[in-house]
Amino acid sequence: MGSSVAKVTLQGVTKKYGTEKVVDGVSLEAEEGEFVVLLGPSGCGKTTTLRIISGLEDASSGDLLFDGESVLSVPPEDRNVGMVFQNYALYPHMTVAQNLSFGMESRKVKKHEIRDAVQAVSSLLELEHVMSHKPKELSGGQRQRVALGRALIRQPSVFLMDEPLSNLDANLRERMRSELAQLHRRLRITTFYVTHDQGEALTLSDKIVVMNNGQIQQIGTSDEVYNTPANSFVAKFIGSPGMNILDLESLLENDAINDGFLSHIVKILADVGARPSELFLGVRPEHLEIVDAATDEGIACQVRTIERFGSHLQINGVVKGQEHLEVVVKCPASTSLEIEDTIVIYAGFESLHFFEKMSGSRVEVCSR
Amino acid sequence: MSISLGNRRDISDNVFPEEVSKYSAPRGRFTNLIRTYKNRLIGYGLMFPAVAVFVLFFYLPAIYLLYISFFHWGILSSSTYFVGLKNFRTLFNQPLFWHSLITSMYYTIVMIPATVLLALAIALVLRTGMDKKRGGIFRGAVFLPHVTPVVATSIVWVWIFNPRFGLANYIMTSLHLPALGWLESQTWALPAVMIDSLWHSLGLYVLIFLAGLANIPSELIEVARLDGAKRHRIFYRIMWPLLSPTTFFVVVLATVNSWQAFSQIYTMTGGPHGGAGGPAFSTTTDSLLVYQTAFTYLHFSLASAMSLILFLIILTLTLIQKWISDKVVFYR
Ligand SMILES: Nc1ncnc2c1ncn2[C@@H]1O[C@H](COP(=O)(O)OP(=O)(O)OP(=O)(O)O)[C@@H](O)[C@H]1O
Ligand SMILES: [Mg+2]
Repeated sequence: MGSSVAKVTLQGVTKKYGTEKVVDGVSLEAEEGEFVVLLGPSGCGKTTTLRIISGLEDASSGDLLFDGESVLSVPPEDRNVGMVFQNYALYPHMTVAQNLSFGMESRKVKKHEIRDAVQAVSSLLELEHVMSHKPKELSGGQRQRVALGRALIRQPSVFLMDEPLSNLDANLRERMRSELAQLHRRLRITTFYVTHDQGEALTLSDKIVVMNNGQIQQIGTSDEVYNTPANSFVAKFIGSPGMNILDLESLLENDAINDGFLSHIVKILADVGARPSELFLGVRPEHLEIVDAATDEGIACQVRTIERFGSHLQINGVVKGQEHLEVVVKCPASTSLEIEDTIVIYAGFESLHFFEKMSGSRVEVCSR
Repeated sequence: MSISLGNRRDISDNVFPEEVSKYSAPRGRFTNLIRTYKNRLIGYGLMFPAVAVFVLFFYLPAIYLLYISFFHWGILSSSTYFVGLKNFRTLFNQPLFWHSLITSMYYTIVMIPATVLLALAIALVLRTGMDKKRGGIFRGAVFLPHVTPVVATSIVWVWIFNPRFGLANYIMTSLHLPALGWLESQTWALPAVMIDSLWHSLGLYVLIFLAGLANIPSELIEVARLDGAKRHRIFYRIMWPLLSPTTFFVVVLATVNSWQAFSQIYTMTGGPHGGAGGPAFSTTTDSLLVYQTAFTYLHFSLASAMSLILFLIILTLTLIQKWISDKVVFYR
């Protein structure tokens, strides 16, 4: 396999440990040079998927193709993938320079080529002045860059990163995130990037793959997974905090709030032939507004807790008279509110989402 | 021996900085002083039993040994008198003493690499080449000899090495190799003892290596594979260097154990009652000679002088090993 960038295809890849399927029929495609982010809660099989692509783990069934050719029988050392582990896994007894050159030496590349490559990578990642240091003499960010450099130096066809920023503090994480984005723009290597941080996912990705319980929930751009979540899991998982998902049937039973706002919704749903009793209503906290209780229509809620974030307030409340329907609202920091206050919340129809109760999948209501 | 308990206030300064400033400042120096002494007293008190046992059964006899090596020492005090360095002079003029040193050295020089290579090889097989269940059984099997009494198992090995009907020669002949005299042969008596010793001690060293291997993060091996390194390269460049502290520990332990090897030599060589060494002193190591001198010929002071020399040799070797290890061992 040359040093060219590969197109990676997973076809129904499944991994079982015993009887448990930790990766369940994953099919996805990464075009040459694409940045694919695997996003999902802890234990959903992201690392396992990455390890299958690297060859460190065998798939139980399904196929994995690089540039259209199956690589399942190719051992990891011959797949030409570079991987960055969550804990970096730098060789602790080697200097930075040795860490960087180990892979090329293993592949018996000529001495002067190795020297040039080490030179290039160290200046790319600004590691020149720590080349003779051992990993324990480096800062977290430097270690991360060495791990990155070690994976990059051989110009892999596929680049795999398993939560590479999770060990860094918030500031450094942000800086490294934008450095990673720049690096990718320059190198254009097909990249799979695992994270459970959606900030990273939304900003870095060409394509986000949202996973849960080993299965793909949705594949799409940041905008797509945010604006048109394929099901209620994605809706709740993407966004911080995630989307409010309310049982429409319970809302309609509530006499106290059965007002103009809801009847408007019911009317539109009836027009497209959907039955409110079989739907969940979804709305993002940042799309809810607090309106004047006296004059405007909306859903009356009671404030339970108020979290102050400086830039905004996050209000956690319940629908009035229905304690089990929890609602989160993001509103401007200037809003003056007390716990136990009653507020009326409202969102335009265009920012409402509907999901089937049984399957959780999205229902398009076309009238918008 | 220096026992340093550290200063209680130093410790609390680090651990509870705010507590120290809150509580100790207003009380003044005197209360602090009392508290410091009280803490020290408790510390020494807790250490006393262990130290007492050590002093009584280890340091005192050792010092006594040093003392009597400068005397002509009889069991009756009337026959005891100071001789200065005469014992040492006698030893250095005694060919058998030099012979025993060379035998000990031969034993050690073979045992160390054999121990390291075999134990490491077995540990690697147990770790990589076996599933959990079988690995556990084999680990048990390898370790078992170590918990059996040397004396008892050595007697079994005497049977195995019997030149006429022993298992060893049976295996040799079935492999079309010449049968050997083993314990009755001047050349093969010591190697036979070495085989017994290896069998007996290997379990411990395998266990130590297994612990060392378990300490190498699996990601390092995986990342090396992705880096294109084949098995042997992963071993030489990643596992061996990271294992060096373990290897060093095994080498030191094996050195000390080899120089002190006694029970297996005593029981295996020297006829039905043991103790005399192999034919023509072929298994008379330094420790066996010490024993014979002291308890067969009742030359306690000469034996003490020999022990002292043995001690100095082991000490020197360990210091040299330490010095080498500082250069080659990688500590994380
Ligand atoms: N070797 C193994 N044997 C059995 N189960 C395993 C093994 N490795 C992983 N699993 C299981 O597979 C599931 C997925 O693990 P994986 O490491 O892929 O999750 P992840 O998405 O990377 O999670 P995280 O975000 O916490 O890293 C987990 O439930 C885990 O318990
Ligand atoms: Mg993981």
